[in-house]
Amino acid sequence: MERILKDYIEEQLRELDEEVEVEAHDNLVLIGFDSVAYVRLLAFIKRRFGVQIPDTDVTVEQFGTVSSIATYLQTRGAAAGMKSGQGP
Amino acid sequence: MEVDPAPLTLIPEAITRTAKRDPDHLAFRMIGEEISYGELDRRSNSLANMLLDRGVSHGDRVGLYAHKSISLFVALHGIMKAGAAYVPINPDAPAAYVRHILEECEITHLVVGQTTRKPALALAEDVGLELLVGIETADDAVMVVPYDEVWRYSSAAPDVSVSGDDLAYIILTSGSTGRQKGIMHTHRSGLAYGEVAAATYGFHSGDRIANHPPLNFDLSLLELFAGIVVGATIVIIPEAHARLPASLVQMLEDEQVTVLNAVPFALAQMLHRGALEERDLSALRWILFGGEVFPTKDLRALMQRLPDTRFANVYGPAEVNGVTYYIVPEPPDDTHGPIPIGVLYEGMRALVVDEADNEVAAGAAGELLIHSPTHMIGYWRQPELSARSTYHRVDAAGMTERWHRTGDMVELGEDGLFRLRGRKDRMIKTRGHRVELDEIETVLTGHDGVEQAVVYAVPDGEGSQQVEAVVTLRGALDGSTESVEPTDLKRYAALFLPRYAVPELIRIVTSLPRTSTGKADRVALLDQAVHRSEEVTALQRHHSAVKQVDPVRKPWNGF
Repeated sequence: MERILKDYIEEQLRELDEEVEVEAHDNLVLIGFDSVAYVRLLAFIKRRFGVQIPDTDVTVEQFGTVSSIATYLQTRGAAAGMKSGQGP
Repeated sequence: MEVDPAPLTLIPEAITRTAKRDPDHLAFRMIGEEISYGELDRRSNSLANMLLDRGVSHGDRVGLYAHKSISLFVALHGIMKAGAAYVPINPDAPAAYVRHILEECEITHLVVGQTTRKPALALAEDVGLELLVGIETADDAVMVVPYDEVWRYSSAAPDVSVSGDDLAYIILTSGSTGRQKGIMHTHRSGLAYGEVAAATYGFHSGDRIANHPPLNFDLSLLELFAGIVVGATIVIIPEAHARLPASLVQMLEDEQVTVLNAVPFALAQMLHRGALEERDLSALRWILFGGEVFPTKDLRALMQRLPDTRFANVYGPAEVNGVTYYIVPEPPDDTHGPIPIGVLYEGMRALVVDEADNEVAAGAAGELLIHSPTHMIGYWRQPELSARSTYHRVDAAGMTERWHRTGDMVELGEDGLFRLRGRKDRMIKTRGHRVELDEIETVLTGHDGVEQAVVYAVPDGEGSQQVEAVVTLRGALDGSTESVEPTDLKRYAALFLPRYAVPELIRIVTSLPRTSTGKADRVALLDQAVHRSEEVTALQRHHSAVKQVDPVRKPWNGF
């Protein structure tokens, strides 16, 4: 799951910077992930993993890094294989 | 009754004053870390002594190129104590942009952080920086001073003579020629703003004032200077919290923040995604907003959600810091139109003039000219530009006064309130940031494949604007050009421009609509763009009505 998130986030950031690499513990905001990007990410997670995320859960602790998002999604019961047929 | 303190002449003297009176009082807090006024005074002295020891002299510019940390704010005051001027640089900006600022301002000493360490080290060799403050490196070619070494320098006040008319800071802003404009302020003009803002909003030492915008954004000067003038505690909001509304609101509650100053966009995010109903923000007595228009419906909803908080619209180009304010009396209804920018701060004067600098009739629109103690001394090394933005007026006593031409069109209503009516030039605001459309055109036409570029701003329906571009390619007609995609152009623009100035949409066309004089017809292009965005919105409404999906949610349009 972490892999899927990392690939997706890199793809988003590469819209402006072709060479960007995202590490699991990078602070996403500090490497250029802005509010628009977060909205797109939430839509992607819903599509890909079938998880609807309440606003109150989108915190620095849970959505600050690729690693923390993956951990959060696991606690929400999302599995990497879910809805794979509907992935982009 | 407290004894009226001696007047301040230098910005960092405000720290020393509070450090003497109440050394343990907190100056800055940032998630769990904090620094008292006493320690801030000592550490900023150490930083100043280090800079002086390492070659900084009176009037030099020292860059601040880092994401937020308490040390960054210590450095900001240490630089001013050394008699140098601080230059805040957007830590998210591309290397070419940062390099340009370093060269333009002849910066040799740069404060950096862990997240800017890599680009800073690369720039250090490139530009010939003499010292990087705040990091370590094994590379012998670059001189560095980590903070633990900085704190070993003497914490006594540095032995330099600094006056109120000395340069204190330079704020960089978009310039229409593609060259950044460096807005130069002295201790006097910075302090004048801090003092008038503190008095207007009644700030006091018990306040806990949030710092939400980044340091390179002039909006942050309000809490920075007004906060320390009264000896308040400044609660630094880290970048990640500033962008994730649920965390921002949580932090406002946890830190018992009493004053929040931010762009309307961030406040609207807080309203829509911040789960305000679950938090107790009863400590929050002021929300100040500025930079652009606050959409009436969002402002109304936020005011209704926070009935005990007072709201004020603050206005002022960075050249004059703050100029006017409007305390919103009650939640506005839709008949009000945009919120006024209000009345002048005490000690400031305004003129509304036509093209010939004659005062317009009462109630008519004209350019706003300002005479104020918060006025900059000019643009860094751009005397012609400085002259163009200055209006000289002889007063009744025969003295010549310096006024600032804001470029903003305003109207002064019968109610005594100023209202904004657009711009004289092609400067726009996007997410609160000033952007010169001409600068973006200059960047795009710098791409080898581009023949002509027209950049314009499309209202996003949320009170802000989105930057869009239409370009024609060289050799497009005879097929001699290599293929250039919009993505290539966006990435190219991102090499030179901060993220917010990169066009959201770039369209490649074979020819541009022309006016009768043969110039690219910007009005026609903008009309087309507005029409397109209205169609998209209508289509979205149609979809949501037919499919009965989630109600249309506000898009996060970036910040």
